[in-house]
Amino acid sequence: MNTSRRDLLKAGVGSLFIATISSPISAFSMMPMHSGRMLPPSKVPRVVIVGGGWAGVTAAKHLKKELGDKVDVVLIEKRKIFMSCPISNVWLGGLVEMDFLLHDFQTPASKYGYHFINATVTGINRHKRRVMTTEGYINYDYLILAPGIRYNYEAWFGKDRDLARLCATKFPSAFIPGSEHIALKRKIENFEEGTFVLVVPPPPHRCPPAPYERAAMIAHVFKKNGIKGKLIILDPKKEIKPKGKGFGDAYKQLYGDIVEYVPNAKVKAVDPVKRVIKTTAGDFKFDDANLNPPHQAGDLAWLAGLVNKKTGWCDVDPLTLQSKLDPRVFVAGDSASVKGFPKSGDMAHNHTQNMLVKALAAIIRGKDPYSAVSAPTNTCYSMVNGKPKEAIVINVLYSIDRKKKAPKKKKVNVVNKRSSQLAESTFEWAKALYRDMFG
Amino acid sequence: MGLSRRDLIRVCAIGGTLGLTKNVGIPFPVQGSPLRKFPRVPLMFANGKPVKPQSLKVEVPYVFFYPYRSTPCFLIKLRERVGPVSLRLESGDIYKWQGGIGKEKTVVAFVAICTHQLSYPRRDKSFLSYYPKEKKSPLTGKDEVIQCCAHMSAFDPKSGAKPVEGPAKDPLPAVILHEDTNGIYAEGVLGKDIFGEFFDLYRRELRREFGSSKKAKELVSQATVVELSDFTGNIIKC
Ligand SMILES: Cc1cc2nc3c(=O)[nH]c(=O)nc-3n(C[C@H](O)[C@H](O)[C@H](O)COP(=O)(O)OP(=O)(O)OC[C@H]3O[C@@H](n4cnc5c(N)ncnc54)[C@H](O)[C@@H]3O)c2cc1C
Repeated sequence: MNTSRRDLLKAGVGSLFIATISSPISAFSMMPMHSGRMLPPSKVPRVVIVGGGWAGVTAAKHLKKELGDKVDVVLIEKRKIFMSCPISNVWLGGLVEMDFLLHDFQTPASKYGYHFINATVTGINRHKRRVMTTEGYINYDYLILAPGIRYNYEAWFGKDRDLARLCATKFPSAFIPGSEHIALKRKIENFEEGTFVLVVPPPPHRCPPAPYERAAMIAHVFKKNGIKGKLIILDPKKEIKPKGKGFGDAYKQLYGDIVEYVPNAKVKAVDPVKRVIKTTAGDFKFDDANLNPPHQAGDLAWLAGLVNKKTGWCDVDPLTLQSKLDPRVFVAGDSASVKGFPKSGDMAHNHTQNMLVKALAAIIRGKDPYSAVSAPTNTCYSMVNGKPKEAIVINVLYSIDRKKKAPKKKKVNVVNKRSSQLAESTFEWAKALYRDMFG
Repeated sequence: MGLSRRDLIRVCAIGGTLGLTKNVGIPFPVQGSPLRKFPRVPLMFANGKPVKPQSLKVEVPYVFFYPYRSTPCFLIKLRERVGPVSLRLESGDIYKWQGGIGKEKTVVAFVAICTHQLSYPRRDKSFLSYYPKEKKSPLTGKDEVIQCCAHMSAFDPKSGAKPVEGPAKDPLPAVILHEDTNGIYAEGVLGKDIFGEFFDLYRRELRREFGSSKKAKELVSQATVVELSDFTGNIIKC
C-alpha cells in the first residue's frame, strides 16, 4: 500500500506523526521536553542526592541501610557509567584493566532500594526545594549535594574560555573521570622524547597525593618504554606532601634520570599554544603535558548558590556536613570544606557514612544529629612502582571534639617504605569500597 | 567502647533473667541476641588429632572454618590469661564474651572477617593477621592485635577483639569455644551478625571457590585447624 503524505493529511493524522516520517530533524525539535514531575510524591521524607560519585553512591546506600522504609532516596547522576578516579593512576601505569574502575548504578539502586535517575541536574530551587533535570523536576525534603569538583581554568585564562577549552582539549587534566583519562593514557603511551610536564594543582585540591602518584606511574611507563625524556613535576608547594619521603625516594631510586621535581613553582601563566608555563620557579617549555588547573566545588554547588566565593568550596557544619547556608541541604564529598579533611574518595565515603548519613538519619528520626555522628578515618595508598608493583600509604585517624563540635586529627600513620604488600593492599582497599558502594 | 554503669546494670539484669547455662563459659546474650548457636564441632589438626590448648603455639594465628565451610576464623593462644569482657556493638547491643579457655584461659577464637569491609583470609593471600608482642605493625605501631591491611582496622583479642584503631566500629565476632578432656569445640558465634552480608557481597568469589552459594553455606561438622602461614603463602602485613 502506498500512502502519500496528502492521504495522511486527509485522513487527519496528527501533525507530529507527519513530521516524524517526513523529517527527523523537525520531529526532534517537536519532541516534548521533560519538564514534568519525576516520581510520585513520597509519603515518607524524600532525600534527593545529586551526583552519583563516591559520596553520592555511599549516601544513597547507607541512608537506606540506616532508615529503610522510613526514607525515600533518589540518586540523580548524569553519567551513564561510574568510573573511579582512585586506581586510575594505577591504570594509567598499565597495572590494572579499565574494568577495575567501572561500575554500574543499577545494581545497588535495586539491591538497596533507592531510585536511580540518569539525568543532568540543570537547576536547584532551594526556596521551593526542587531539583530540575533533563528528565523533569523533583521536590525534596532534604538535598544532598555531591557534585565533586570543577576545574578553575579562570585562574589561568581569565574570561578567555576558548583558550581554556583549547588547553583542556590539548592537555586534559584527568582529575574528573572519563574521556580525559583515556586521552592522557594515549599521550603517555605515545610519548617518545623530550619534556613532559605535570602541574600539581594548588591546595586544597582533589586527592593530595594523586599528582605525585600519577608522576610515578608516568615515569614507570617512560622507563618501561625506554624513553629518552624528562618528566618535570611543577609543584606550587615547597615540598611533596603527603608521603613526601616515599615519593621522593621512589623518584630518586626508581626514576632518577627521568623525574625532575621542582618545588615552589606557582603557575603565573600558561600558554597551551606555544607550550610554555611561567612559574615562580622559572619558565618551562614542554613537548607534552598533564596540565592541572586549580579545583573548586562542582558546578552544581555554584548553581545552588552554596559556595563560599572566597574559598571556592561549600561551608558546612564540620560534624554533620549540613550547609551553613541552608539547613535542608547537606554537602558530601569534595565540594564540602572541612578543616583537616582531605578531598579523597576514602574520606568522601567515610564522612558520608559516619557523619552526614548518621546526622541526617537522626534529624529524620527527630533525634539529636551531633550525638549520632562518629569520627571518620582516611586511608590513602599510592602506587609508586610498576615493576614490581609497590605502594606507600598514609592513614589518618580523627576524633570528635564534642565541645567544639568539630573533628580533629588524632593520629597520622604513614609508611613511606614502598612494598609489594602495600601494593596488594591498594587493590584490596579499592575492591572493598566498590563492594560496599555497588553491592 | 566504655560501658556506663547503667549499661552494665542492664547487661547484668538481662543476663540474670536468662540465667547462665551449665556449659562453662557460655555467655549470656542481651538485646537483639548477638549469640547464635551452631552445631558443636570438634577442632582437629590436619593429622586428625584433636586440638588441645597445650598443643597450640603461643601467639601463632591458626585458621579454621566455622560455622560454615566458607567462613574463616582465627584461633590464637595468647600469652596471658584473658578474662570475660563486656562489648558493645555499633547498634548499641551489648554482650559479654567468655574470655580465654583452657586451663590458663589463653585460647581465643574470632571470626576472621573484618567487620569494617569484610576482608578475610583467602588461600592466595590474607590481609588479616595477628601481630605478636614486640612485632609491631609498622603502620599503626601496635602489637598483640589482629589487624586488617585493607583499611587499617586493628582489633584487640585480649578484649574480645574490640576495635582499637581504624574504621571498624564492631568487634570481630567471637567463636564460642568449649573445652573438655577430648579437646576444643566450637559451638556458636557471638557478636555482630556479618555472615549474611558476607555471603551476599562475596557471592561471586564463593561460587568460584565452592561451586555455588548453597555449597558455601553448608555448615561444617568438623573444623580443621591450620597455621595461617600454612593456609596461605602470602600474609600481607602493614
Ligand atoms: C587521579 C586521581 C586519583 C585518585 N586517587 C584516589 C585514591 O587513591 N584514594 C582516594 O581515596 N581518593 C582518590 N582520588 C580522589 C577521589 O576521586 C575523590 O575524592 C572522590 O571522587 C570524591 O567524591 P565526590 O563524590 O565528591 O565526587 P565524584 O566522585 O567526582 O562524584 C561527583 C558526581 O557528580 C556528578 N555530577 C556533577 N554534576 C552533575 C549534574 N549537573 N547532574 C548530575 N550529576 C552531576 C558527576 O558526574 C559525578 O559522578 C583520586 C582522584 C584522582 C583524580
